[in-house]
Amino acid sequence: MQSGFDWGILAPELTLAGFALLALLMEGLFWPRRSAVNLGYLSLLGCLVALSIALIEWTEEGGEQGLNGMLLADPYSTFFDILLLCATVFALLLALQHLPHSDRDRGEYYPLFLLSTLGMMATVAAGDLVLLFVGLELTSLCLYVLVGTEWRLQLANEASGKQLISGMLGTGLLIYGIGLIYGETGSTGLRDLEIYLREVDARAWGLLLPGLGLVLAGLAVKIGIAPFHMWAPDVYQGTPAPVTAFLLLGPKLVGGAVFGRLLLYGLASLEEVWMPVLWGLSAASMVGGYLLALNQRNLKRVLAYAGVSQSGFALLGLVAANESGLAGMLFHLVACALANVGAIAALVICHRGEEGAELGDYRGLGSRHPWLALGVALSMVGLAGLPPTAGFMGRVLLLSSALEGGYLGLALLGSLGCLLGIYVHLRVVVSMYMQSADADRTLPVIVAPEALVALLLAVLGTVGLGLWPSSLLDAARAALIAIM
Amino acid sequence: MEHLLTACVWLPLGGALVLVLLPSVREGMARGLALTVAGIQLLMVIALGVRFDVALSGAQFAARREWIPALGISFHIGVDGLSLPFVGLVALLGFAGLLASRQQAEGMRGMSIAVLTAMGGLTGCFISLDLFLFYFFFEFAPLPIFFLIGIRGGIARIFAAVRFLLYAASGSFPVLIAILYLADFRRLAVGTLGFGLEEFTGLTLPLETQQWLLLAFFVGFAVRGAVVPLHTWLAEAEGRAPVAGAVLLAGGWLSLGGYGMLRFCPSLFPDAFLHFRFYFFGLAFCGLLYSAILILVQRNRRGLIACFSICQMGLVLLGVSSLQPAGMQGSGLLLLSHGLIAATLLLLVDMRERRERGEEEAKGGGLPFQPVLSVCLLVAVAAAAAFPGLSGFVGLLSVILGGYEAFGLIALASGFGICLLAIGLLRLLANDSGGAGGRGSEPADLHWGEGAAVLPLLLCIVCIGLFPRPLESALEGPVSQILAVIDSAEGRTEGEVEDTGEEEYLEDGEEEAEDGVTGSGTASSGGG
Repeated sequence: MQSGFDWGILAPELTLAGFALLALLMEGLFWPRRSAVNLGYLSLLGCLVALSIALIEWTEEGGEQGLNGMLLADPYSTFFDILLLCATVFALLLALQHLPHSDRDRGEYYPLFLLSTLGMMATVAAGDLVLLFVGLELTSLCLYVLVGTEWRLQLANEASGKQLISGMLGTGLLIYGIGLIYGETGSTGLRDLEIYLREVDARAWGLLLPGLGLVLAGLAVKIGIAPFHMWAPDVYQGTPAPVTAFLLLGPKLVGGAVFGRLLLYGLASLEEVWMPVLWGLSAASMVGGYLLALNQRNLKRVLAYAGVSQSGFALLGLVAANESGLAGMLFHLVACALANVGAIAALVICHRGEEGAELGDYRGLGSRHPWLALGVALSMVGLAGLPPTAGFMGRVLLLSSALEGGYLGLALLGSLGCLLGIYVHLRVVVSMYMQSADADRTLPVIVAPEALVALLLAVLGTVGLGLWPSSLLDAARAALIAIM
Repeated sequence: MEHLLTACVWLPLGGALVLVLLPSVREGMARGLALTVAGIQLLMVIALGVRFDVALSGAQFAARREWIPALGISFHIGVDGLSLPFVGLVALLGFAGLLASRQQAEGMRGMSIAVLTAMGGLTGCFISLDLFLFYFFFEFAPLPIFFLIGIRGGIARIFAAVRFLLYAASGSFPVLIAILYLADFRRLAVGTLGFGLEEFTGLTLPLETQQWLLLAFFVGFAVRGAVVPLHTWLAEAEGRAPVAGAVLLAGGWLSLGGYGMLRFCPSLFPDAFLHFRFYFFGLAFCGLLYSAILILVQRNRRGLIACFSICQMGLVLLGVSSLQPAGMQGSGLLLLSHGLIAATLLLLVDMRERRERGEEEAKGGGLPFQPVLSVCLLVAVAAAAAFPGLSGFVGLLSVILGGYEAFGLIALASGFGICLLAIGLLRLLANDSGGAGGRGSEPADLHWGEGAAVLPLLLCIVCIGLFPRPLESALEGPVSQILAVIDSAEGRTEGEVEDTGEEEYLEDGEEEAEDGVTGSGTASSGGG
């Protein structure tokens, strides 16, 4: 088919891998005694280089395939590459603030972020279930280690254990499903799968549908969609805040990307089979996540449950399965990512133990640290989906696409979810601005430039995309041409 | 002049942004800055009012700019005789509220930011000619008011604020779904997505769809306007909020609900409105009587004012549901006058309560005689009780006339509710003045700042009461446009009695749109 492999399409991934290995090497050979912060900056540099390469790729017309269709370097994957790299930059910025203040300032921490991102980028570009699996496993393996960094704490142990067990469950489901699909079709390529589904009679499918069901369930576990979300709050609570941010950003983006690619590119002809399943997942996540968040007091747990709901909203766009729905999904994922960065930046800056702050700890922040409080408040408004933030535009786009697709019931459930979300997120705002602080519960505020940069960028993005959404919307539409 | 109108939205929001970016500014300075911005806003609206041409129909000072072209959403604004008075009302109330809240020592900066933001948000709602833009502000406006109610409060205040926000949000989601549904319907009919208001009036929806959409819109506006079964948040929010918040809540926020009912419900869904009007009348009538009875058992003063608001909103709905020129104009007038009166009452009651509290703390022997405060209160209460020569009377009279034309004698029974209302409101006047005290920190009677906050409002109340003609003629044009839509719907249903084929999409949406644009274009050039 193709004579020589064009390494250029792998440029961002290779750069990232190179920097990760370089950082590991530095840690082992040259800088064992130095502070690990240097490695953090090296990793950040690697991310930025990869990001600029990806941005250059985005401006070029592309649509190439590599490794016999296993790797799809189309605008869709480039779009997600850019988002994932931005997410990693944010997570690294937060980690650079957080780690030097904890006693586990270890160098290998930072390259793990890069390797995990590498896995995610491979997953996003996968045109084959095997590469998808390999990418997801690379991601998960790095995340198991990252979640367990604070291994001396009990909560962190619990988090690490839960992450490992649930991750393994997801892996098992996924690989079993892929096995069944391979057994039935003789191939793991998405393109082959699509051709098989079109050409072979439905009665001869045999174990194909159970296989697909297992694949979807495995992915749902990895991303944390209701009802496969049980692990999320405990894991998020026990991990260091920057890793929580990474968990909130990366897997959600990857989940949206993979679901979109798998369902609309590979399984487009099976729409009537997966649509009801997705409908149920979406409804359960949108409403269920926020219902469970109503009674939480720990900010990390609130964000974890809210994250479940946000994934549900993203699925709303997939259920609608039209162009505006998918564009809305991409927009929504970006909006949520930005708002989540803002929220976690608050957690990192107002440092209180490893289990993270309770909502009550934020009392009086509005008068003590007006700038910080403003940033957090805007992020919370963004998560709640109120104007003038990107979250609002994302919600409107998704609800609009659901109506366009004829899913009025799901749109109504979605607006119920929005309503619950407003309560959940504005509780934080209430405690910051409307309650005065208890003398013994004021949080120590550690402000470092890195975290402030992250917070500032995230807030500017949230408000900017809320007021001028057109550019991102157009980019999302351009990215979608590859899979629609 | 278009720029002036655009500035009416952005000036207060910009002022708020400046205050946000100056966290270390002194509280008094922040209030001064906010007051300046609100004053400029008021002057700008007055300038717009002077240039406004009552004879022209359609939106004036219209400006249009692309916002989200992919979805057909534009930043399209303009005012007509129905919306301009409310833009003025919001500016006036924001100004008065800021002026009156001088005594608050701390939290002035936050409050100034919230007042300015609320002014911008509410103004945006009133001048939007694009449904999406309207919804953007509609959903945005509750946030600053939420802050206004809850800022620096105890548990009860926070509870009131959260309750307000949840009510407002649960009202706005049905509106959002309805707007998106409407846009999708229009997309199927015309081919492109768009949210321009004038593009929707040419659309003929099936009756059943219209009914659902109308209900969604109505619920959204009824929650904002505190129409009776959905009014329960009002007394608490108004009672707990600091005075600037209460004033904007009673004047601007409730007006937004009434404005929505008047502007959007009949003209977007004419067939369904004709179908539902008797239910609306029933709701209005019951609400009117219910709140009038409620007022008799109210114990605190702000509760009385909240009951007055609920009662007036019932009357506004009654006027809208009459679908008569007199009734709908009356609704507009009444809405405006309610905003003025409720705000005046809230300001005065707050001033009196503050003096009483000061007296209690100083262990004085009751308040001394306060001639100016008492007279102001007397005028405001008289206006609230629809005393002839004051603004409350004019609107009430036309609403009842319109109601009588539409529903017959039963509408006159609403007069009974007004009597109860007047009796209840008289208790606002009761006080124990005449004591020898005056030891509180405040001067016994109004000082100049408080007078400056209240007098313009009272002046407006008297002027509208004595010379309602300019306002009536301004309302005439928009009301006749709404009624023209209703009339054509009525004609259509009568014409289509024999064939029940209602799934007919009229394709003249585009034509209507062009008409609207050129109309507003000439209007703006005439205005400028």
